[in-house]
Amino acid sequence: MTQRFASVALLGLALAVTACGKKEEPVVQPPPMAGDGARFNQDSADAAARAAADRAAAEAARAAAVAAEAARAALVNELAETIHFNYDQFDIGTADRDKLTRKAAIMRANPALRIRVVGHADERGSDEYNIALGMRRAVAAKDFMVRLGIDGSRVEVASLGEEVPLDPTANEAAWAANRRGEFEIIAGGQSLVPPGS
Amino acid sequence: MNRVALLLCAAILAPSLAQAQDDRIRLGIQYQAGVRPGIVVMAQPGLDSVRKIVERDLDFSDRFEIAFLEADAGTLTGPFNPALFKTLGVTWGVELQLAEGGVAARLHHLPSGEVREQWLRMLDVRGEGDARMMIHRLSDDITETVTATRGIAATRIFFSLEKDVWRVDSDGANAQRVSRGTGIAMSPTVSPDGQRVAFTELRDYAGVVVLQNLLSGARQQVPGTNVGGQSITPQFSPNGREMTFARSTEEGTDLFAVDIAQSCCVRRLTTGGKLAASFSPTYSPDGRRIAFATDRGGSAQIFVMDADGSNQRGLVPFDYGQTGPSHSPDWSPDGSAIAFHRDVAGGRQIHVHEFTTGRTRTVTTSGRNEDPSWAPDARHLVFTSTRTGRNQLWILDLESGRMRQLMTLTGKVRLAAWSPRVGQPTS
Repeated sequence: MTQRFASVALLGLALAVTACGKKEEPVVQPPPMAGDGARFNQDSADAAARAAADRAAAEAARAAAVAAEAARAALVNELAETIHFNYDQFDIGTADRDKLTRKAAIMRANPALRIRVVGHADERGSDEYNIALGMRRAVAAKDFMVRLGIDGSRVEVASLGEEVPLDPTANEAAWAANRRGEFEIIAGGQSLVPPGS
Repeated sequence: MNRVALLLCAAILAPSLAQAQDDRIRLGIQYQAGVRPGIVVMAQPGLDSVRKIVERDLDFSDRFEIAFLEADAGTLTGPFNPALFKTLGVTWGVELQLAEGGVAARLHHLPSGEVREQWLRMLDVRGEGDARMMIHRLSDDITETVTATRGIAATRIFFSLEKDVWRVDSDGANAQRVSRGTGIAMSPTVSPDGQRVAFTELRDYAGVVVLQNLLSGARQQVPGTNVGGQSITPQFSPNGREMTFARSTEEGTDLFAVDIAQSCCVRRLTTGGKLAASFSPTYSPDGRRIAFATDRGGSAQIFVMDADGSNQRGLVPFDYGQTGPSHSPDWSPDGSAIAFHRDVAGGRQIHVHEFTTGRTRTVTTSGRNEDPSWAPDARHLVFTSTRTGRNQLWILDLESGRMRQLMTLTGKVRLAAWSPRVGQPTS
């Protein structure tokens, strides 16, 4: 039935658009079950208008949803942006301060948001010490955000030491890539609003 | 190695030894005069696997010079011929014969012509799998009879390979996986009775110490290690009742102890806070002290404390701001030394600090060398080294300086822990 109504509505829409002012000469006969032709035509036109409005609204909603999702994805990407560290160090570099400041702003705008920071190390340090080093890196990132006003309970920390390298090769570029803090959303990421909105 | 290889041809063989005059039997002997007694291992046909294992065990004890029968020597049968080996300057002869259900072994003291000891052992002469441990024990009996010191053949080395903990016999054979692939398993340590292993398992962003019974396979999480954060570097106390480990959390990385006999009573031993990480504990053999690595003085160095956490102080001397980071201390089983690794110009090397002399020796020179662990004889160390290009486990005899690669495995091999002598066969 829904499908049939839709085809009738489309038919009405066609009439409304192409036969404006000529409704006494319908191009297509109404379906046999309709009793009063004129009445049906009027109903059909109304339905068509309503459907058009609905469609427009749905279209707008869809466009808004797409835009919102794009905005959300952009925020998720910003939250997930990796930060990096120098060898055997855990202080936050200048560029990464901007990244963390931005993450903190997103978290302020989205109070339900909770994240996890995972600290990683390159393979050169002692394997076991690297677990502690990765933890210090995660905590350094967390502390930075807490100083910007983010409640500590919203940022979990963990370390994987040198156990999960991004790049397993043994060269400076790989080591630099592996000395990192990774971020992931653990709650409240379904819908996000940008800071300042 | 200062070794002289001496090849002798069949001409010197006494007729009574060789089953047929035509058998071309070559004997090779390696010796370092005056240092280690020469020994030869002979076996009846059917015992070649046993002979090879015993011969290699005695060789790897680094307490003998082995007169070895070369691959093309064929089989030696007939009565044991002391005269031959006297000629070679060999002091000891091991004679292996098939016996009901196993092997009869006799230890000949060649200068006196006496049989110094004999053993009858029920064992699987194929020398495969965990049945090899019975053969390793025979090797240790021979070593003990000759040198008055028990050998280390009947031991295992536990280690990390990729994401699992494995074990291998001390001669590098019979490698088997121990952990179950349920996380990233690392830093194995073996209980004093050799029947349990503990290791860190990283899983779901937490690090828990898993205690696994090697006989039953039963596993449990060690109390105090499953409460958040990463619990790393577990160690058993010498009486096997306690465990100490480091826990890494937002508050820092500190040492804790827990009563694993009663599964209770977690105690904090250090309070470095965020400024100082303390980790890699190792008990003194009497259980009264714990050495550990801590970076409270800048780079990590080796410290010591009483087992209750009191009286913390530097243990291995270092120059503040000069000495490279020092990690992974392991207290020798005889209590006389600490082995650890330290970054020095040109690499990371294994060091041994001797309490008797107060001296710290660098015992490796090439490649990156890490995470030493003592054998029960307090003279051999196993450690990770990149000397051949990638991580492999190596064994160093501190007395002779002899070095051997434990085994060849593909993958990231590291974090070895030498077990105590294995009392019972383990599954």
